[in-house]
Amino acid sequence: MENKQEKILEFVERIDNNDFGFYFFTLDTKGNPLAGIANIYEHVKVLNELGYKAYILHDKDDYHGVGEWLGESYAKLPHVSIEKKELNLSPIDYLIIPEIFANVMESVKDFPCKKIVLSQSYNAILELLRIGERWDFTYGFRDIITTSQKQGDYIKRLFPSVINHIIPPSIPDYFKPSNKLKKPIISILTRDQKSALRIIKSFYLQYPMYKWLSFRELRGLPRKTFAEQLGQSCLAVWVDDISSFGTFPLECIQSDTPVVGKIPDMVPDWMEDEGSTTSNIKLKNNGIWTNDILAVPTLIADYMRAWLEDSIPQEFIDGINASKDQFTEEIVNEKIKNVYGNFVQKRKEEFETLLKIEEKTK
Amino acid sequence: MKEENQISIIIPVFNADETFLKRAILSVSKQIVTPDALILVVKKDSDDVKLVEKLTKEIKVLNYQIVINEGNTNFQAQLNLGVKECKTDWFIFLEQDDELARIWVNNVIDYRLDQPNVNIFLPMVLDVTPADQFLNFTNEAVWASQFSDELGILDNASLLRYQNFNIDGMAVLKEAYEEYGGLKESMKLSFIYEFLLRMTHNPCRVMVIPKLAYKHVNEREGSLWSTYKKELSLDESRWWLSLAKKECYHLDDRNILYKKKD
Repeated sequence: MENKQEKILEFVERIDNNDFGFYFFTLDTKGNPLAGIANIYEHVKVLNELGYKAYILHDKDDYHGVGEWLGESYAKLPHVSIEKKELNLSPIDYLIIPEIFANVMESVKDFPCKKIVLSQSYNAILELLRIGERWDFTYGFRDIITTSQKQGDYIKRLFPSVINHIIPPSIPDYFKPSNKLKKPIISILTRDQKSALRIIKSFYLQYPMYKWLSFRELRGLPRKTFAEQLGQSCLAVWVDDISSFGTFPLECIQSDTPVVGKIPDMVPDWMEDEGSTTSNIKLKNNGIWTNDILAVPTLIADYMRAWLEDSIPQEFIDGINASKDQFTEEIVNEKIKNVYGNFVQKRKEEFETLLKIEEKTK
Repeated sequence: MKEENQISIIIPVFNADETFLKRAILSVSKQIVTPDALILVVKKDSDDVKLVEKLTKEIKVLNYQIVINEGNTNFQAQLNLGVKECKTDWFIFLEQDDELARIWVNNVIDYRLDQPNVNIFLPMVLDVTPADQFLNFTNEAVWASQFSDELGILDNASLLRYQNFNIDGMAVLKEAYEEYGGLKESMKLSFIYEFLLRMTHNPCRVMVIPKLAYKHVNEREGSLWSTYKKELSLDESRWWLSLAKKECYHLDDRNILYKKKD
């Protein structure tokens, strides 16, 4: 009994001294840029800056890393390899698993640490989840970090007992307008490459007078190059039906680059206007939004004509400006600080309660 | 008015149609950024003198200057004289039958600040038929990927391959225009092409501003190009084009004349 009390006391002390770890299980993208992975690294970076010990947890020793596309400052963050048996979790540690890895959740369900799901893509939740199994009751994951209220609501419909914590991804400050005037270049980002090609080919066929306009596919570019190219473009095109948060249009907005976008299946929170309901969705005037993928070439042509003539409506520019700076690093870092700080505080309280119970029992 | 303006607009006037000239002058007066001066070059003792006096008063143009031309009155000579009389560092050239977009002077000033190494800014032009039907854009090609070495910049090698560029609405640094010789007065048909070839052969940076400067009515009856089309044979047209590629290496106008083949 003495030992148990001492152990609990030690845990409380270690929590007070930030002597515990946040372990973020991460997929190896083999050098391919992935927004979700960038966001995980951002959490790890901010937590380390806040004085916590946060780690990227990867499966294999030959983990490729993110240096090439996310930068050295991220690549140098602490990493832990499961294969190397570097992972030694205690009850005061935190294991954070991305939503897709239901199989990993199952394999760690008996671990003594605090377990959290980081759900950035609603579309991936059911990918590996076996029928009848649940994050909360089956695997013991009751705290969920997700990126938007809409996703949180969806998760709650699937697993009613979970507690959602919302941390949107931040838009780094290198997403900004170019210090040069915009060029007649159209940046394009689509979920799959075929969609981009279909739009480009269709645009040139329908509007041959614009055959001199260049499209620039941003897929696969290192983050800062991606931001630089976007900042130079006078227009961006976005097609991603299963997007969860809609990070790319927000990056466009920060870059003063208007977007022609296909409205995703889950309309992002920031895209919806006041008074919007499930059956009557009202969109903000912060992009050129359409439900019809076939209309995208026409919307591009219409916008380009207005851009060439300097006749972009002021209210559209105002709409874009009104949506700026909602997800700056400063705002999001504060959310990271609060959400993880609350986890720590709550965990400490749990151990303190345990200690009181032990003392009473004694 | 922006402090950095230092820009005049020159309109060479010759046998002008009142309706078109009035529109051209009105388009200057309606610029959202006012140019420092409007220079109208007219032939001495011609009807054009009375017309420009009437229109400038009617439209109440500020800072206009009527330059009386007593010498050669072809298009190139008229513009060269206007440039000689221009007192600002930069000038915009406007044909008497075209109308500048209201924001054009402002665009030129913005791009001048954005691209301080550029000496000549060409506009993008929307070509329409006399019935106002869209035909095509002009000067847009430099923005096509791999057209030239640098996107938006017209270089000599690209010009040797592709000659269809329009200088109406162009903004030019007066110093560069005079240093590299201006428009050659003895040349017909290909004088614009020769001018651009010469400028890009010399260290003169030419950029196309990706904004529409005006709507151009193609092959309007009475325009300089429709006159050339009527007057010049196919052989002579080809000869002038080929001459441009040779004469661009000479800064001086060498007064080479076309001789009809026997």
